Amino acid sequence: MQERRRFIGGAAGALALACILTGPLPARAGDPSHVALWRMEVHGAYLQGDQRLGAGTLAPYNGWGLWARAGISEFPWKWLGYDVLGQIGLVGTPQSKFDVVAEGAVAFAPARWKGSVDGSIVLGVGGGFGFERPVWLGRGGTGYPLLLARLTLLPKKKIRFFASFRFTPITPDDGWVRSYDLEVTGGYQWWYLGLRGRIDDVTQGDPERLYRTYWLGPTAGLVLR
Amino acid sequence: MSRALRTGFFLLAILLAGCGLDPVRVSDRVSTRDMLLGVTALDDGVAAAIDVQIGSPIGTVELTGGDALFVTVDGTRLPMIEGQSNGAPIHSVKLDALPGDFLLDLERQNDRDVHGVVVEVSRPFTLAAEGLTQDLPLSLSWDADPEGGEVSISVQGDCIDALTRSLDEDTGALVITQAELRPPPAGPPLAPCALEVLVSRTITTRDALFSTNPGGNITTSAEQRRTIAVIWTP
Repeated sequence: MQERRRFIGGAAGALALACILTGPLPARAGDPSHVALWRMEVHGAYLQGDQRLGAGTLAPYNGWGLWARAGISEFPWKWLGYDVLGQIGLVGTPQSKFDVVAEGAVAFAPARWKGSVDGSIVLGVGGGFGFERPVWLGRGGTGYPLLLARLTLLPKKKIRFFASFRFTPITPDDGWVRSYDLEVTGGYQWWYLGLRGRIDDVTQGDPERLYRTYWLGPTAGLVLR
Repeated sequence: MSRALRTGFFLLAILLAGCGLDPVRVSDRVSTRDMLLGVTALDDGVAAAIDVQIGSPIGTVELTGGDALFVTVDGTRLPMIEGQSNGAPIHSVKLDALPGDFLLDLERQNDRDVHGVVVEVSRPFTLAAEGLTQDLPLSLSWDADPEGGEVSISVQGDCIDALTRSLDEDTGALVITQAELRPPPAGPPLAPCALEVLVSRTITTRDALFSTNPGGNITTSAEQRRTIAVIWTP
């Protein structure tokens, strides 16, 4: 009897959560605090860090990257949506010249507000596929989980700031790879400029140690929606 | 342009130029499995020295982070002292003589140690020279050691072209005729001159430090060298 009550209670709770997340009101584009974001951008970056040589030697290296990126963050329901990102580019290191990434996530909008500065916070969980990062690992394409967060601030109708953070942990056979990606942008009407930085951490080797690569470079983009 | 802006541009230019990419050549950044230990030992009959250079994928490194090299010679364990050779770090020990094989230890704080690597050294020997008077050839003799490695003999002097011989087998003796000591075509006038005779016995080895791949390796070159002066009147 008690188990039956527990089952009914759990089902009712899950139903209530689903109703809240998929509430009847989709985010409207005209809403100043809406959370949808469609964008295209170009991004260039300089990279520098330590790669592994041999069994476990830290060797400095550097390079550059240039990408075209397109992202869609859409909320068919008030609190629940999706976030997809694709990028294609070149990476200038001895190990790699070509880079492709596709990522998708289920997105939640736990906070949105109106006031002197409208804004919203989006969180997402998903996955992606891309060529190996950092490139010196040289293992070709790999899949990975993805955690994302984005803060959008709209101080005026035509001015938009957003900062997005993406975390992609990978556990290959011979170590642990983490990528932390932070983008901060500010824009007017449909255009925006920003700075994007990334840290790729790889823990592996004999002795096991951290191999870190820093990326930093400008971003210029266009908000489509 | 403001000073802060100029400084910013300068720092950015340095960053983009890749400054700081020259590797910091310290052992902390190198796995023992990637190390290439190069051991050179020399006993010239007067004094002896053991030198060790540590190569790696990022170049020759100095020992840091508590890493240390030791040699055990004739039962005495000695720490190796860091120095420079041609701008590269080298670790050395000065000795009176090399009486025989010695042991090398590499101790590391955060990585694998290498213990008890045996560096083979041929037996010390005494060199003697006779002859080279009137028509007699130069007769050299020393204590033979058939297991003592490669033997090479060289004779140098202002009045001759340098002469070098290698022996397939260490017989402990070599005879050099006066006809082999040819004066250089444009050399000084014929007169009594000093020659320096050098006999060298060297054992070289190359071994892996570990059975893994990569496993690092160690190359050794241990030389017993003796010199003697003789006077020759061509």
